[in-house]
Amino acid sequence: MPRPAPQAMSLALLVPILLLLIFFFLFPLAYLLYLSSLAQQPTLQNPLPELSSINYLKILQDSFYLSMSLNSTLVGLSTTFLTIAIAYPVAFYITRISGWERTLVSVACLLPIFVNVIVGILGWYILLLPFGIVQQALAGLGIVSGPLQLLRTFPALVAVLVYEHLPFAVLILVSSLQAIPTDKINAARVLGASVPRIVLSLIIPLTMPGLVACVILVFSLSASSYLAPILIGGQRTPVLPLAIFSYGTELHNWPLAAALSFVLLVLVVAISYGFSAAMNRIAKLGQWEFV
Amino acid sequence: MRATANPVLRFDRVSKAFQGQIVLNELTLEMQQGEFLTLLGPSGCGKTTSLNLVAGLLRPDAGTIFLRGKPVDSLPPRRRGLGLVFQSWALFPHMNVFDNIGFGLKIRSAPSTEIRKRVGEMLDLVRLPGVGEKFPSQLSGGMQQRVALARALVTRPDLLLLDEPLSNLDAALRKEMQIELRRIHSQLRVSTLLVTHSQEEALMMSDRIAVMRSGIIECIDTPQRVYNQPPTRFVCTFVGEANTFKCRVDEVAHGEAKLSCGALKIVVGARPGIVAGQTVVAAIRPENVVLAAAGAGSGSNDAVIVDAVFKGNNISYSAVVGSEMLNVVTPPPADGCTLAKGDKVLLSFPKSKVILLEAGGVDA
Repeated sequence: MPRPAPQAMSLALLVPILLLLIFFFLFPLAYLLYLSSLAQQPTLQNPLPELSSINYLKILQDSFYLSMSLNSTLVGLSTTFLTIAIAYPVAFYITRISGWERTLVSVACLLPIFVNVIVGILGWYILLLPFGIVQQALAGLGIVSGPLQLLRTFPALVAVLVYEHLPFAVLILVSSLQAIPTDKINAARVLGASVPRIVLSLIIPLTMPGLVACVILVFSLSASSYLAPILIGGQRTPVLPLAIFSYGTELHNWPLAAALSFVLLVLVVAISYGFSAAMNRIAKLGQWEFV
Repeated sequence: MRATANPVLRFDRVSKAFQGQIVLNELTLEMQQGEFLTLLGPSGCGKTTSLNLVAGLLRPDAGTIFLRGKPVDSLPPRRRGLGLVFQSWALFPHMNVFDNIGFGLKIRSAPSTEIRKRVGEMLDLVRLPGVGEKFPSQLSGGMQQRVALARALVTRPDLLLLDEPLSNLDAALRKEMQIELRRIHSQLRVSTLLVTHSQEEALMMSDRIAVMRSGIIECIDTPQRVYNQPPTRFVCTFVGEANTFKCRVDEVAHGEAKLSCGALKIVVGARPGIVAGQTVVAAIRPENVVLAAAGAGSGSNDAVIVDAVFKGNNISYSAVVGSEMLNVVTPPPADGCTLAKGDKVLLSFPKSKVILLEAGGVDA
């Protein structure tokens, strides 16, 4: 019996994931696209309504949906920016320590992952309640007086989303920073580079793949998050996932829910792709050699 | 060595330990302007630690390092005016060759015309004209090595540090780069401190070799003297090969000392401190043993060949005299008749070629 070619062997390894993706991702996605282009909800009497672009037109012409899309984008971008701004120094610090100190800091960073998301968000809910712990603390310090609106605000929503995604960003950035050989840093030090110089011209470019991965992960997860917006943000910060849920389950308008889902998908993919393409260009990705 | 007024580098009783393990033990060393000095030793002897201390990547626990006569313990690496080539070369993968080499100049805010001129000069020096636009990953190992050297030299450092720079190259390329490094050194006269575990590299390139072991310098001298007159058994066997024998001094007379080690007889020139009855270690390098057909002369040792290995430009024999085993290396005989296992031969040891090491001096 002839041995299968190595190429065929490695392709065979892809079969399970391909099957999974075809049946549970591509097929539903195609169905969603089909659903979004139906003029009305399929019913028993009319199982195959005519095709139309009415749902997309509705979204594009209604400023409510447009501001919702803008909100989703802003929530995603602010969360991504803040998450990376906090995670990068932490990750850098973790790579510089060792032993029990490192274990302690790493575990502290990862702890939120082990807590159920709803429990975590409800914890924040309690902290942020009017006359809740945050307000009491601020009042006790004499910083504020009187009731404080924290819940149902944009900053509160972003803060909770940052909390939720920080551990993933730290994980990715630590491994990315760790991959930089010490020799390269030392070479720059001996050549005369100061610390800010080393960070700007060496460490950030060399961790660019990790940064891009972080941006894509945090942006797509936070822009399409549902739990934090429903529990913390509420209707004052309407975002696309909230509308998708209510059209899908409460108003039973699946075609419009599907169309909104597609708008969100296109937003997330376009911004993620745009960012990684720009960064690849800047960092000349693809021409690197990693030791 | 000659105590010149201005050594470019001086170690004054420098010690360093890692987690209680002493790596450098009161190391004292002086390096002259323009000198090519090599720290040679097995791994763990402290040679790389010494280099990192000079570069400022490590701090000494005790003692002081002087560069150009000034203590540098409080200076960060970037203020020491050094060039350093790493074993891994440590090129910046996201910069092309031009930017890699120009990095040190750009940091010093040199004008771009100056950078272009000096990077061009460096590329010519290391014989890589026209590769400025390429990225390190597009270059061969030998070329990357040259780029790393150019990057270290472009800032005109007072002292060039080389940390096993050739050990990632294959044998042929390593030979070529050894010659290149020598050429560049003689062209620029830049003081160069090389760290290596390769005795061949050290012998070939250095003005002086410091042989290190366990955090101390066992011997520091010219390659010829280190090889021909090693002061300790460790230096003798680490630099080159040697047959060593623990001998008894049988007799000292007429300016000669007669030694014996079992059936093996060795005659050396007498020297002060050698007295009859004493135990000494004698060493002779395989290429210095004179091998003759049996029955050809006196004062020699009868030996039997137990192994012969043909190596092209020489033949390596193992021979036994009594219970002692010796390595003998000879050029291939003109008639092509090599000796074979079981052949009886005479071995003699030219007086001037026998190395006398301290009695029981250093352990094996």
